[in-house]
Amino acid sequence: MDTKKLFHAIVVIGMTTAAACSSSTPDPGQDASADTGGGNDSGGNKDVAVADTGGGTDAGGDGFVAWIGC
Amino acid sequence: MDVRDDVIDALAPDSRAQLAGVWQNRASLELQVGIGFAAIAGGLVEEGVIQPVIELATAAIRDEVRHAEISASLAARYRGSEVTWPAPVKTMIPAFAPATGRFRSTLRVIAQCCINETLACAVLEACVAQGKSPLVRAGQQSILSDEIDHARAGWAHLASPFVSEGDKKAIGTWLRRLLAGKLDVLLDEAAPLPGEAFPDHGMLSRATLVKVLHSTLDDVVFPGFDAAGIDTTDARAWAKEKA
Repeated sequence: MDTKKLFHAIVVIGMTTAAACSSSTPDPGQDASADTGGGNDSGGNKDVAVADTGGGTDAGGDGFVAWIGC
Repeated sequence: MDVRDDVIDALAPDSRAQLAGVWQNRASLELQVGIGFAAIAGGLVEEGVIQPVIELATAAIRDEVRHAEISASLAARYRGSEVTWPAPVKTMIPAFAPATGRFRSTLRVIAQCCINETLACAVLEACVAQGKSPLVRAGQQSILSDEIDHARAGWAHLASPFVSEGDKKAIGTWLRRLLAGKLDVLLDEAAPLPGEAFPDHGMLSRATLVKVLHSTLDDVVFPGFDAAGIDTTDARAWAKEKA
Protein backbone atom coordinates (compact mmCIF):
# COMPACT_ATOMS: atom_id res chain seq x y z
CA MET A 1 0.00 0.00 0.00
CA ASP A 2 1.37 3.38 -1.00
CA THR A 3 0.15 5.70 1.72
CA LYS A 4 1.80 8.73 0.12
CA LYS A 5 -0.35 8.24 -2.97
CA LEU A 6 -3.39 7.75 -0.77
CA PHE A 7 -2.65 10.96 1.13
CA HIS A 8 -2.46 12.90 -2.11
CA ALA A 9 -5.52 11.25 -3.67
CA ILE A 10 -7.72 11.84 -0.64
CA VAL A 11 -6.44 14.62 1.60
CA VAL A 12 -4.65 16.91 -0.83
CA ILE A 13 -7.29 16.69 -3.55
CA GLY A 14 -10.09 17.00 -0.99
CA MET A 15 -8.65 20.15 0.52
CA THR A 16 -7.90 21.60 -2.91
CA THR A 17 -11.54 21.11 -3.81
CA ALA A 18 -12.55 23.35 -0.93
CA ALA A 19 -9.99 26.01 -1.76
CA ALA A 20 -11.22 26.18 -5.34
CA CYS A 21 -14.75 27.18 -4.38
CA SER A 22 -14.21 29.27 -1.27
CA SER A 23 -14.69 32.54 -3.12
CA SER A 24 -18.25 31.57 -4.06
CA THR A 25 -19.28 30.45 -0.58
CA PRO A 26 -21.69 32.60 1.45
CA ASP A 27 -20.69 33.84 4.87
CA PRO A 28 -20.92 30.79 7.17
CA GLY A 29 -22.45 32.66 10.10
CA GLN A 30 -25.39 34.08 8.17
CA ASP A 31 -26.13 30.79 6.49
CA ALA A 32 -26.25 28.82 9.69
CA SER A 33 -28.74 31.04 11.47
CA ALA A 34 -31.03 31.30 8.46
CA ASP A 35 -31.09 27.55 7.90
CA THR A 36 -31.69 26.67 11.51
CA GLY A 37 -34.73 28.91 11.82
CA GLY A 38 -36.41 27.98 8.58
CA GLY A 39 -35.53 24.33 8.28
CA ASN A 40 -36.46 23.08 11.68
CA ASP A 41 -39.67 25.00 12.11
CA SER A 42 -41.25 24.31 8.77
CA GLY A 43 -39.60 21.09 7.75
CA GLY A 44 -42.39 18.87 8.96
CA ASN A 45 -42.18 15.68 10.93
CA LYS A 46 -39.79 13.87 8.66
CA ASP A 47 -37.12 16.56 8.81
CA VAL A 48 -37.36 16.77 12.56
CA ALA A 49 -37.10 13.02 12.77
CA VAL A 50 -33.77 13.05 10.95
CA ALA A 51 -32.43 15.63 13.38
CA ASP A 52 -33.82 13.67 16.32
CA THR A 53 -32.20 10.50 15.11
CA GLY A 54 -28.86 12.18 15.47
CA GLY A 55 -29.54 13.50 18.90
CA GLY A 56 -31.24 10.49 20.34
CA THR A 57 -28.94 7.59 19.73
CA ASP A 58 -26.33 8.02 22.42
CA ALA A 59 -26.90 4.41 23.35
CA GLY A 60 -25.47 3.42 19.99
CA GLY A 61 -22.07 4.82 20.89
CA ASP A 62 -19.82 7.16 18.98
CA GLY A 63 -19.27 5.07 15.88
CA PHE A 64 -21.09 5.34 12.59
CA VAL A 65 -21.89 2.06 10.94
CA ALA A 66 -18.98 1.65 8.58
CA TRP A 67 -17.30 -1.05 6.61
CA ILE A 68 -13.67 -1.15 7.64
CA GLY A 69 -12.63 -4.63 6.84
CA CYS A 70 -14.96 -7.15 8.39
CA MET B 1 -24.69 -13.46 -11.47
CA ASP B 2 -23.57 -16.31 -13.73
CA VAL B 3 -20.18 -14.83 -14.55
CA ARG B 4 -17.35 -17.35 -14.53
CA ASP B 5 -15.04 -17.20 -11.52
CA ASP B 6 -12.85 -20.26 -11.07
CA VAL B 7 -11.63 -19.07 -7.66
CA ILE B 8 -15.16 -19.04 -6.28
CA ASP B 9 -16.18 -22.22 -8.07
CA ALA B 10 -13.18 -24.10 -6.66
CA LEU B 11 -14.41 -23.62 -3.09
CA ALA B 12 -16.11 -26.33 -1.05
CA PRO B 13 -19.83 -25.70 -0.36
CA ASP B 14 -19.34 -24.90 3.34
CA SER B 15 -16.63 -22.33 2.51
CA ARG B 16 -18.87 -20.75 -0.11
CA ALA B 17 -21.66 -20.53 2.44
CA GLN B 18 -19.33 -18.84 4.91
CA LEU B 19 -18.21 -16.21 2.41
CA ALA B 20 -21.79 -15.72 1.24
CA GLY B 21 -22.62 -14.85 4.83
CA VAL B 22 -19.80 -12.31 5.00
CA TRP B 23 -20.99 -10.55 1.84
CA GLN B 24 -24.64 -10.67 2.84
CA ASN B 25 -23.73 -8.96 6.11
CA ARG B 26 -21.74 -6.37 4.20
CA ALA B 27 -24.79 -5.62 2.04
CA SER B 28 -26.68 -4.65 5.18
CA LEU B 29 -23.74 -2.62 6.49
CA GLU B 30 -23.47 -0.69 3.20
CA LEU B 31 -27.13 0.31 3.41
CA GLN B 32 -26.57 1.53 6.95
CA VAL B 33 -23.55 3.55 5.83
CA GLY B 34 -25.86 5.16 3.28
CA ILE B 35 -28.23 6.16 6.06
CA GLY B 36 -25.25 7.62 7.91
CA PHE B 37 -24.51 9.79 4.90
CA ALA B 38 -28.16 10.83 4.72
CA ALA B 39 -27.95 12.09 8.31
CA ILE B 40 -24.67 13.84 7.54
CA ALA B 41 -26.07 15.49 4.42
CA GLY B 42 -29.11 16.72 6.36
CA GLY B 43 -26.91 18.24 9.04
CA LEU B 44 -24.68 19.90 6.48
CA VAL B 45 -27.61 21.50 4.67
CA GLU B 46 -28.92 22.84 7.98
CA GLU B 47 -25.60 24.05 9.33
CA GLY B 48 -23.66 25.07 6.23
CA VAL B 49 -21.63 23.36 3.55
CA ILE B 50 -19.80 24.20 0.36
CA GLN B 51 -21.30 22.94 -2.87
CA PRO B 52 -18.75 20.21 -3.72
CA VAL B 53 -19.08 18.66 -0.26
CA ILE B 54 -22.87 18.41 -0.36
CA GLU B 55 -22.59 17.00 -3.88
CA LEU B 56 -20.22 14.29 -2.64
CA ALA B 57 -22.19 13.59 0.54
CA THR B 58 -25.51 13.18 -1.25
CA ALA B 59 -23.93 11.09 -4.02
CA ALA B 60 -22.51 8.88 -1.27
CA ILE B 61 -26.04 7.93 -0.19
CA ARG B 62 -26.74 6.41 -3.60
CA ASP B 63 -23.21 5.01 -3.87
CA GLU B 64 -23.71 3.03 -0.68
CA VAL B 65 -26.94 1.54 -2.02
CA ARG B 66 -24.95 0.42 -5.05
CA HIS B 67 -22.35 -1.08 -2.74
CA ALA B 68 -25.15 -3.02 -1.07
CA GLU B 69 -26.20 -4.26 -4.51
CA ILE B 70 -22.63 -5.37 -5.25
CA SER B 71 -22.32 -7.09 -1.88
CA ALA B 72 -25.68 -8.86 -2.15
CA SER B 73 -24.80 -9.98 -5.67
CA LEU B 74 -21.49 -11.43 -4.53
CA ALA B 75 -23.27 -13.19 -1.66
CA ALA B 76 -25.64 -14.71 -4.20
CA ARG B 77 -22.74 -15.80 -6.41
CA TYR B 78 -21.10 -17.58 -3.49
CA ARG B 79 -24.41 -19.17 -2.49
CA GLY B 80 -25.29 -20.07 -6.05
CA SER B 81 -28.78 -18.67 -5.63
CA GLU B 82 -30.85 -15.55 -6.21
CA VAL B 83 -29.90 -12.17 -4.75
CA THR B 84 -31.38 -11.57 -1.30
CA TRP B 85 -31.92 -7.95 -0.36
CA PRO B 86 -30.90 -7.06 3.24
CA ALA B 87 -33.56 -7.30 5.92
CA PRO B 88 -34.74 -4.14 7.73
CA VAL B 89 -32.30 -2.97 10.36
CA LYS B 90 -32.18 -0.08 12.82
CA THR B 91 -29.35 2.31 12.07
CA MET B 92 -27.63 4.28 14.81
CA ILE B 93 -26.36 7.78 14.14
CA PRO B 94 -23.83 8.94 16.74
CA ALA B 95 -25.08 11.88 18.78
CA PHE B 96 -21.65 13.08 19.92
CA ALA B 97 -23.23 14.71 22.97
CA PRO B 98 -22.81 17.38 24.20
CA ALA B 99 -21.90 18.75 20.77
CA THR B 100 -24.72 20.47 18.91
CA GLY B 101 -25.41 22.41 15.73
CA ARG B 102 -22.69 23.06 13.23
CA PHE B 103 -19.96 21.59 15.41
CA ARG B 104 -21.81 18.28 15.74
CA SER B 105 -22.35 18.25 12.00
CA THR B 106 -18.61 18.68 11.50
CA LEU B 107 -17.80 15.91 13.98
CA ARG B 108 -20.03 13.56 12.00
CA VAL B 109 -18.24 14.44 8.77
CA ILE B 110 -14.88 13.84 10.41
CA ALA B 111 -15.93 10.50 11.89
CA GLN B 112 -17.50 9.17 8.73
CA CYS B 113 -15.36 10.70 5.98
CA CYS B 114 -11.95 11.67 7.37
CA ILE B 115 -11.69 8.56 9.55
CA ASN B 116 -13.98 5.73 8.41
CA GLU B 117 -13.96 6.25 4.67
CA THR B 118 -10.28 7.18 4.50
CA LEU B 119 -9.37 4.00 6.37
CA ALA B 120 -11.79 1.99 4.22
CA CYS B 121 -9.89 3.12 1.11
CA ALA B 122 -6.66 1.67 2.44
CA VAL B 123 -8.36 -1.53 3.59
CA LEU B 124 -10.04 -2.02 0.22
CA GLU B 125 -6.76 -1.37 -1.57
CA ALA B 126 -5.19 -4.14 0.51
CA CYS B 127 -8.12 -6.46 -0.22
CA VAL B 128 -7.85 -5.86 -3.97
CA ALA B 129 -4.08 -6.37 -3.92
CA GLN B 130 -4.43 -9.66 -2.09
CA GLY B 131 -7.51 -11.16 -3.76
CA LYS B 132 -7.49 -13.51 -6.74
CA SER B 133 -11.21 -13.90 -7.41
CA PRO B 134 -11.94 -11.72 -10.47
CA LEU B 135 -15.50 -11.01 -9.36
CA VAL B 136 -14.54 -10.05 -5.83
CA ARG B 137 -11.69 -7.87 -7.05
CA ALA B 138 -13.99 -6.09 -9.51
CA GLY B 139 -16.57 -5.49 -6.81
CA GLN B 140 -14.03 -4.19 -4.31
CA GLN B 141 -12.35 -2.01 -6.93
CA SER B 142 -15.69 -0.45 -7.80
CA ILE B 143 -16.47 0.25 -4.15
CA LEU B 144 -12.98 1.66 -3.61
CA SER B 145 -13.39 4.20 -6.41
CA ASP B 146 -16.45 5.61 -4.62
CA GLU B 147 -14.89 5.53 -1.17
CA ILE B 148 -12.15 7.87 -2.35
CA ASP B 149 -14.77 10.52 -3.10
CA HIS B 150 -16.49 9.90 0.23
CA ALA B 151 -13.21 10.40 2.07
CA ARG B 152 -12.40 13.54 0.07
CA ALA B 153 -15.69 15.09 1.20
CA GLY B 154 -14.42 15.11 4.77
CA TRP B 155 -11.11 16.76 4.01
CA ALA B 156 -12.82 19.30 1.76
CA HIS B 157 -15.25 20.19 4.55
CA LEU B 158 -12.40 20.65 7.03
CA ALA B 159 -10.76 23.09 4.62
CA SER B 160 -14.02 25.00 4.04
CA PRO B 161 -15.16 28.23 5.73
CA PHE B 162 -17.76 26.21 7.66
CA VAL B 163 -15.09 24.90 10.04
CA SER B 164 -13.75 27.81 12.08
CA GLU B 165 -10.38 28.11 13.78
CA GLY B 166 -12.19 27.70 17.10
CA ASP B 167 -13.79 24.50 15.83
CA LYS B 168 -10.39 23.17 14.80
CA LYS B 169 -9.00 23.77 18.29
CA ALA B 170 -11.92 21.89 19.80
CA ILE B 171 -11.73 19.02 17.29
CA GLY B 172 -8.27 18.08 18.56
CA THR B 173 -9.78 17.19 21.92
CA TRP B 174 -12.52 15.10 20.23
CA LEU B 175 -10.30 12.96 17.99
CA ARG B 176 -9.63 10.27 20.60
CA ARG B 177 -13.39 9.80 21.07
CA LEU B 178 -14.08 9.76 17.35
CA LEU B 179 -11.31 7.22 16.71
CA ALA B 180 -12.25 5.00 19.62
CA GLY B 181 -15.93 5.04 18.65
CA LYS B 182 -15.22 2.98 15.58
CA LEU B 183 -11.78 1.48 15.94
CA ASP B 184 -11.58 0.19 19.51
CA VAL B 185 -13.58 -2.88 18.59
CA LEU B 186 -11.33 -3.61 15.60
CA LEU B 187 -8.02 -2.95 17.34
CA ASP B 188 -8.74 -4.45 20.77
CA GLU B 189 -10.08 -7.82 19.73
CA ALA B 190 -7.85 -10.72 18.71
CA ALA B 191 -10.41 -13.13 17.29
CA PRO B 192 -10.05 -13.97 13.58
CA LEU B 193 -12.10 -11.82 11.22
CA PRO B 194 -14.97 -13.53 9.41
CA GLY B 195 -13.59 -15.10 6.25
CA GLU B 196 -9.94 -14.45 7.01
CA ALA B 197 -9.05 -18.02 6.09
CA PHE B 198 -9.72 -17.03 2.47
CA PRO B 199 -7.09 -14.47 1.39
CA ASP B 200 -7.63 -15.31 -2.29
CA HIS B 201 -11.16 -14.02 -1.85
CA GLY B 202 -10.04 -10.57 -0.73
CA MET B 203 -10.51 -11.28 2.96
CA LEU B 204 -7.90 -9.71 5.26
CA SER B 205 -6.67 -11.30 8.46
CA ARG B 206 -7.05 -9.27 11.62
CA ALA B 207 -3.27 -8.90 11.82
CA THR B 208 -3.14 -7.43 8.31
CA LEU B 209 -6.15 -5.22 9.00
CA VAL B 210 -4.58 -3.81 12.17
CA LYS B 211 -1.34 -3.12 10.30
CA VAL B 212 -3.20 -1.32 7.49
CA LEU B 213 -5.24 0.74 9.96
CA HIS B 214 -2.19 1.88 11.92
CA SER B 215 -0.14 2.78 8.85
CA THR B 216 -3.07 4.70 7.34
CA LEU B 217 -3.66 6.59 10.57
CA ASP B 218 0.04 7.46 10.79
CA ASP B 219 0.61 8.32 7.12
CA VAL B 220 -2.74 9.67 5.92
CA VAL B 221 -5.30 10.52 8.61
CA PHE B 222 -3.10 12.21 11.21
CA PRO B 223 -1.07 14.17 8.63
CA GLY B 224 -4.40 15.22 7.12
CA PHE B 225 -5.57 16.62 10.43
CA ASP B 226 -2.18 18.30 10.87
CA ALA B 227 -2.58 19.92 7.45
CA ALA B 228 -6.03 21.16 8.46
CA GLY B 229 -4.57 22.81 11.55
CA ILE B 230 -5.94 20.30 14.06
CA ASP B 231 -3.80 19.18 16.98
CA THR B 232 -3.21 15.42 16.72
CA THR B 233 -1.13 14.99 19.87
CA ASP B 234 -3.85 13.18 21.79
CA ALA B 235 -5.01 11.21 18.74
CA ARG B 236 -1.49 9.95 18.14
CA ALA B 237 -1.21 9.01 21.81
CA TRP B 238 -4.43 6.98 21.47
CA ALA B 239 -3.01 5.19 18.42
CA LYS B 240 0.18 4.41 20.30
CA GLU B 241 -1.84 2.88 23.14
CA LYS B 242 -3.56 0.64 20.59
CA ALA B 243 -0.38 -0.47 18.82
